[in-house]
Amino acid sequence: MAAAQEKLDADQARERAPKTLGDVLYAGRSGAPAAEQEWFGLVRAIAAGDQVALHALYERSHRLVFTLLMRITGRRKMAEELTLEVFHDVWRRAYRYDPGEGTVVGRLMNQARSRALARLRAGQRKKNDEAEFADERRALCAALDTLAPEERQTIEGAFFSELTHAEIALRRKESLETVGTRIGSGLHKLRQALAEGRGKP
Amino acid sequence: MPHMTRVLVIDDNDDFRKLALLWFQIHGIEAEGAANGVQGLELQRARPATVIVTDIFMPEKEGIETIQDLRREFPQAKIIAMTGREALTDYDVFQVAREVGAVKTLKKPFKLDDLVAVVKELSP
Repeated sequence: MAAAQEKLDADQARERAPKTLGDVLYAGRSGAPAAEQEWFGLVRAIAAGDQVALHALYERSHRLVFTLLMRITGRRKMAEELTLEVFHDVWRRAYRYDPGEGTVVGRLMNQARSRALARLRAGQRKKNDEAEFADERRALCAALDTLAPEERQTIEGAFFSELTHAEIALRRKESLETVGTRIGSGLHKLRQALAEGRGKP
Repeated sequence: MPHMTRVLVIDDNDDFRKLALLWFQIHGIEAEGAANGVQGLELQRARPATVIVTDIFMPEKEGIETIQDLRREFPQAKIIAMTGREALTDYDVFQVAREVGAVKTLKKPFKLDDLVAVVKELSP
């Protein structure tokens, strides 16, 4: 008898337990999930510049977006930033929303997913980039040390700050010709220094 | 001795682009850089390069599309496609790059001297 009651209690507990992510997110909320027409209505209002509609959309969906972002990135701060980015993007691009391209929530989730992956890839890439071409960077740093200060500043302005010769001339209060000469002599010295240091070029 | 070659480096990675441009100039090769495919096309229209080095994965206009557009507008230019990132799809991006017109493909990390050598090899 007691065993039967325990089984009954367990079955009832299972019934009450949340089954889906939606059950968790919408727990304690009254009413059924909003119909797609309502979601689309919000997006249309946002496209017309309605900030209240943006707030309403955010209230309805930010937990879902945030949860997905947390699962992908595993970092709370990043997930929070990306959640804001997703809704900022909705604000800027709501006018482009086409109901034929999927549900509003689906689009939000896709947007969140692609932003998260892009952010993670960018982080990974930065690590890889720092490791890449390390030999060349070291050799170049050593070669730059052989330049006269004015040559080095001119070369760094042209190649690292991506300034035009005219901009460098203006900043250094020198003629364009002088800038050209400094770059020419600087590149020549760099070539020599690299050749001496590494037998190349 | 300066080469007659003019190189356009298209890469959204600022560090690589700047380093490569300086490396080319040190080797006497005229070079300019663009941070994405749109800028690259504009630069190529303004000052055509004989050899174009382009990354495959870029924002704004990604590399495969850039190569297609460059090939269509500048059939004489030699295009080198490069990437260091893991392919996100299951197809071989280098093969696609070759099919749309890249004559050489390079996987990062490579030696910049090797890139210079490839550019010289492709130079008219």
